[in-house]
Amino acid sequence: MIRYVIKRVLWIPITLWLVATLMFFMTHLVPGSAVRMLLGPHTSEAQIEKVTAEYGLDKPLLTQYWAYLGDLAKGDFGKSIVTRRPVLKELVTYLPATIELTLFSLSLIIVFGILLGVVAAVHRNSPLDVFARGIAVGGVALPQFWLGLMFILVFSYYLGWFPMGGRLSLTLTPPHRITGLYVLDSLLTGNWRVLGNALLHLLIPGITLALTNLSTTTAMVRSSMLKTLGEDYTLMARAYGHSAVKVNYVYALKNSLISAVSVIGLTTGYLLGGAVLVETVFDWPGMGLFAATSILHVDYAPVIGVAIFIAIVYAVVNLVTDLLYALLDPRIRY
Amino acid sequence: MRRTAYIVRRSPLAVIGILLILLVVVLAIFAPVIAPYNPQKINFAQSFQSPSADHLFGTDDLGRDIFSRVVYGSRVSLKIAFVVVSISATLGTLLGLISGYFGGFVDMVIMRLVDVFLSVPTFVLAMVGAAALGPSVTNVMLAMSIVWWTWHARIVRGETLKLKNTDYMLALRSMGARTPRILFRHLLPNCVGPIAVQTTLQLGLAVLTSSGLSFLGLGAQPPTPSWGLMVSIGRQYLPADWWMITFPGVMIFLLVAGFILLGDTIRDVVSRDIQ
Amino acid sequence: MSNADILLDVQELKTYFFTYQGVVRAVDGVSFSVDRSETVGLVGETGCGKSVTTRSILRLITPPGRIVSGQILFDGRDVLKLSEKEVRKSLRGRGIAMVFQKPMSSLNPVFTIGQQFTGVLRLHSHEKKSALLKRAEESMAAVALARPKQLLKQYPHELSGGMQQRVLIAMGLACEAKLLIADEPTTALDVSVQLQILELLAQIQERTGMSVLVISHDLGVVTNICDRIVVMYAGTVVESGPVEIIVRQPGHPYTTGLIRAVPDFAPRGTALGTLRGEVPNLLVPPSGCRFHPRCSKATELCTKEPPPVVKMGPKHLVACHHVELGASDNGQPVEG
Repeated sequence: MIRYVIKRVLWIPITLWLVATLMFFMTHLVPGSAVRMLLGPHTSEAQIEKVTAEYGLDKPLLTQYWAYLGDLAKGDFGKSIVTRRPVLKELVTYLPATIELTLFSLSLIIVFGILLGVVAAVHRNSPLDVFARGIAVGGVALPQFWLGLMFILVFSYYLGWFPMGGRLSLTLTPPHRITGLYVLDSLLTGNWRVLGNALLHLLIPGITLALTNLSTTTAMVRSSMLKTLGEDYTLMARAYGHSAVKVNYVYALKNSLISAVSVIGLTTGYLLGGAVLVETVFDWPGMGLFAATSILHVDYAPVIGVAIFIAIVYAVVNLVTDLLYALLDPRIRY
Repeated sequence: MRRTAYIVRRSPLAVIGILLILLVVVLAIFAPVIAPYNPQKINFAQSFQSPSADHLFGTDDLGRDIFSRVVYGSRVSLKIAFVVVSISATLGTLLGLISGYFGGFVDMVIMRLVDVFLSVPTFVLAMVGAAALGPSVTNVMLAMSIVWWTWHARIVRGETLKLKNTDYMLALRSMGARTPRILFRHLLPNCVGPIAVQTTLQLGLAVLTSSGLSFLGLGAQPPTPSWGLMVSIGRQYLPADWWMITFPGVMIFLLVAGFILLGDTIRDVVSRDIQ
Repeated sequence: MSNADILLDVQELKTYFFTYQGVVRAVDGVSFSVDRSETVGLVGETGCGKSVTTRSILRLITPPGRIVSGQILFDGRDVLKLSEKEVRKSLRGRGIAMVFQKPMSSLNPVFTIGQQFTGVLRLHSHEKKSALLKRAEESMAAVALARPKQLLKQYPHELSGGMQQRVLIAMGLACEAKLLIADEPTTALDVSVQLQILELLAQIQERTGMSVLVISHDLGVVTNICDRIVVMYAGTVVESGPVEIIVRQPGHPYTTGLIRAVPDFAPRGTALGTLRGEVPNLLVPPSGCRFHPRCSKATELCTKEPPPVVKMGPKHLVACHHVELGASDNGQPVEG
């Protein structure tokens, strides 16, 4: 078991290195200079030369690559051409917002995904099943950016129930920073007003992100439950007198929860990817928004930085869920 | 095959899915006939009109008829989806077959490559790719193909591994069947099921991802009538001119839902066969 | 034979499955009984309706299946008229305990043996957990399982098939059921273990006076420990009677065929017999007597009318138009 963990942990830096390499070559294939595009066509050669030298964009590709790797290892993700601040610093600033959004959505997905999956399986082929699967499938097909905008239109503009974006009303100051997650921090410091306000801002973006990513979890839980319900041991539990409720929602559920864990890692990946769109729509100051605006300014370093960061988070989450899965299922012992 | 058709026909969801897809295909093929206006025709006098008899879906900021743009937009979405999935399915299947059949070093290299591509969430990777290559429809297609072949490769490799050591394969080899023949005439047909599922679902995801990338400004550029781009432009004019984002978005939803409904049903068929 | 001795009385049970392709008459008029402290064997090929019968007895039939008609009397009460709650509380586990075919898949892999055992016991008693565990240990000792305390803490996959089977039997014992239904108790086990389990079942029957209903397609297994045998074919009972008589003087051609196929019973020197033909499709069962396509004695009558139940001996019943009148008192049909 320990060996498995060590092997997986060691694999992460290697994967990250490969990912970084991939990113590097993807972004440096295009001969157009980022600087030239930023500064526009009417810049002097001197200006271009100066910025080029400053960012090392004139050296041969391989040299740039080694320098790049070296920098990454030191934690230097380069500087954003637009903001002129180190990318890493920006990432750290924006990270908590994305984590808060992702965690919130993940919780919603876990709760509702499992609920829908179980209901769909237990009432197989009934209208309830179709309804549950409909929500899941419908959720996936909805374009996240569009859904977010529709929600804003309906709930913020027309109904006025929710704010139109951002993490907090402009009139309030963020809570004392412990974790960077407004909801958590305000809870910990007893700042109830901010707590309510932060939740209000978090709700619609969270629901948008969650709704569009429900289907993986629901499908997995449903198929796992169906398999479990068809097993002999389920029949046996009924044969001894356990009620249907007990069998479905207590015994069979545990079997399915274990499979549900395996999709959490995958779902998190989708959430992180989808965060880019949702953050853009809701002006949510997270890594996603940072990446999107950087793209518009043809500012590559932040984009790569965000991608690598997300890769790290993704890898860690996958490792944790795999371990969790092995821990929960008594049949697996490495 | 006939059994598949039978089951598909009996599942109302699949039928709905097929109808949705067909709807969009019809729109795409007969766009010039269906669209009442030239999608690129600018007419400032008519800009920001809400939906009416004249303009079913209203007009946009440049006075272009949104209904016509939505109709022509179907061409963009379908083109992207089919090109991307064709490339990634072909590439992925080929690599998957090779990887699974030959094993060893080749397998390891290909699988490591797959792992790397899969270690970053696909949208993010496509985003980086499209950003790096420059915003255009072609580059979006390229970026997505580069990322998505991995899914096919994994699945096909899995199926190949399952079949590789069966007596069936052994018999073929002992009869002198040569490798390419084995790969294509014998292994490949067995993978058709899972490939079909993956392909259909991926078509839906392609539409979703490409419209997301267009929304961010990475895909189709103005004045192309791409649905995602239309939503992005329309966003500036909320809430007053709600029709500019509503209709393109609904179309994306319908097309994607169609593919997913169909794909899910095919998946049910395939897994039932396996049982 | 007074009625008080009859523990389980199944009368004209019909359980059908309403599928897309049509109605499958899995159990079509099955009648048999099990006395107290008796071991009865239910024999038949795969698909003849044995499992569906036992599930019907426990009311475990789910849609698209349904018990269409019939009566199932257990300990004097009509099972089919009980409420769902009564079925759970007094019938399942408490009255009838069932041991399933594959022990490997009969226990939930993510719960310990102890958790599942006490879970079941708790349904039928209000004792504390410690008392329940003790009862579990005792039952497990009674089925010759070593170190029950330790076993209770383990997970099912850590036990062998034979041990799992014993655990399941122990659960039935612990519930103090009056009838133990063992569905193919030996099919999934090694030959050496099979014998042990059969002996165990016989011992339990002797010690506790529990009745046992053994389901099997293996005639050898059944004749080993049963007092009486009920032979099923294509959803109907074709013959039933004491084991010695069935083996030596079977009245139904199907039974004869089954016996001839078992090496132990076939007369020395003769080739092992086989039954020609295939198991019928229960969607469209053969007309008249369901066995007629495979029967060497079939006549036109057999294709038209279902056979009457003929009483060939005090407890020996045969459903056939052309029963061989052997060494039994009368050849009068029991039902016209």
